[in-house]
Amino acid sequence: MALQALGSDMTFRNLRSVPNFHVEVIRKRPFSFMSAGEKQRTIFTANNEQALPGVVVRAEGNPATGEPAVDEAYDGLGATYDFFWSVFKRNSIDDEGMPLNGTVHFGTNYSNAFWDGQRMVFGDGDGEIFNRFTIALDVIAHELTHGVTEDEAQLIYSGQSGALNESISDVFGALIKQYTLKQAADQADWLIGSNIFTDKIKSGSEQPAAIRSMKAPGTAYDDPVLGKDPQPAHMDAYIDTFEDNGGVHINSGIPNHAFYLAAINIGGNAWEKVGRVWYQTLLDPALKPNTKFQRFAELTIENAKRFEVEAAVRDAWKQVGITSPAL
Amino acid sequence: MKVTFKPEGGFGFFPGLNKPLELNCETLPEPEAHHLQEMLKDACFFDLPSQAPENSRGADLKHYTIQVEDKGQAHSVAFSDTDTNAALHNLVSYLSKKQKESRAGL
Repeated sequence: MALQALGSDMTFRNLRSVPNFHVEVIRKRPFSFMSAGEKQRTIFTANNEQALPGVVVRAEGNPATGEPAVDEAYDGLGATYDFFWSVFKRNSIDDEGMPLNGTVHFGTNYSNAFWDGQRMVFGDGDGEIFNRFTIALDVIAHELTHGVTEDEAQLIYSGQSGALNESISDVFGALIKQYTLKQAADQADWLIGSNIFTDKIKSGSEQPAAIRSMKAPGTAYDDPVLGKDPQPAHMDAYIDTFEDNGGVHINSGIPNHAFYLAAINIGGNAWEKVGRVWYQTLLDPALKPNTKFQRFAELTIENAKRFEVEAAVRDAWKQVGITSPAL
Repeated sequence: MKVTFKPEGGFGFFPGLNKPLELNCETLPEPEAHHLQEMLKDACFFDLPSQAPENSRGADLKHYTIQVEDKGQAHSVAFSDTDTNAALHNLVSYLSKKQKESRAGL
C-alpha cells in the first residue's frame, strides 16, 4: 500500500502544478537576432555528472568533433529544426527562433533522454540494456517536439492529456525519421527508438526490438529483464494506472496507432497530409491543456477537412475504438 | 532501518525496470548497511523536504521516491534528475545498483 502511494504521488503533484503552467510557457523569447530558417544549436557535455547545462563542446557552424554523442545530438537537432521549417515553416521550438540547446553525457550510465523545459538532455545508456540515447534520430526529435507541444498546447503531463503529449512527440519523431530517410508511410518501420536497445534485448515481433511500435503497439519488446511492452492499440485495452504519470507512455499507444492507421489509409509521405493534420491540431486554439483522446480525435477530424482526408482520419480513430455521434 | 526505493518515469515505461526495491539494514552485510546509513546521513535525509519544488515544465524526466523507516520514524523524499542534491544522486546510484542486482537474482 505504501509503495502504491509512492507511485501515485508524482501523478497528483503534476495535476496540482497545472495552474502555474500557463504563466510560465506564455513567456516567449522577446527578441531574436536570427533570421527565420537559421538554426542556432549548442551542444554541451555534462561530463557524466548531473549538472546542467554543462560545458559547450560544439556550437553552430563548428566542424564535427568525432565524438558520436556530440555529433549525433548536433545533427539530430539540425534535422528536426529543418523538418519543422521545411514542412511547416515553423521557426524552432517556439516559432520565434529559440536556440536549440542539447546536453550529452548526462549522468553515469544514465539510461534516458528528457526535455527539461529549456533543453534536450541525453544519457549514455548503461551499455547492457540501453545504448546512448543520441543514437536514434526519432528520440532526439521526440524530445524537441516536447518543447513544441509545451509552447503550443501545454498538454498536462498526466493521464490522457499526458498520453497525447507523448504521442505527439512519437508522431513527429517518426515523421522526422521518415522525412530524413525519404520513406513513404508503407515503407517505414513505425518503430520508436529502434536502435536504443542493445542486441541483448528481445523483440516482441519479427521487427527489431524498440521502445515503442506505432504499427503494432504492445509488440516493441518482450524480454526477461524489461518485461513485455505494455502499450494498448485500442480503447478496449486502455490501462488505468497511477504508474508513469497515469500511463502517459502506455496509453499513448492508442493515438499513436490511430496516426499510423491514418497514414496508411491515406498513403504516400506521412508528413505531407496526416502529419500536417496533426500539426494543425497542435496549433488549434481548441486544443486545451486537459484535452482527452475523444476531443483530440474530433479536432484531428475537423482539421483533416481542409486537407480532404477527413474520412481516412475518422476511420483510423474508429479502428482504435474512438467514435461518437460528433465523429 | 528499512529503505524503499521507487524509480518512475523516463522516455518509456518498462515494467521490469520499475519494480520497487526494499532494503533492510538488518539483513544487509554489515559493511553495506553501514555504507547505506552513512549515505543517508550525508544527505541529511530526515531533514530534507518530502517534495522537491514543483516544476510543471519538461517531459520524460525520471522521478525517484526514497522512503526510510527507522526507530519508529518514517520519512519519504521525492525528487527528479534535475534536482541538484549530489548526496541524493549518490543514493540513487547505489539503490539503482542494488535494484539491478536484485533483477539479476544476486
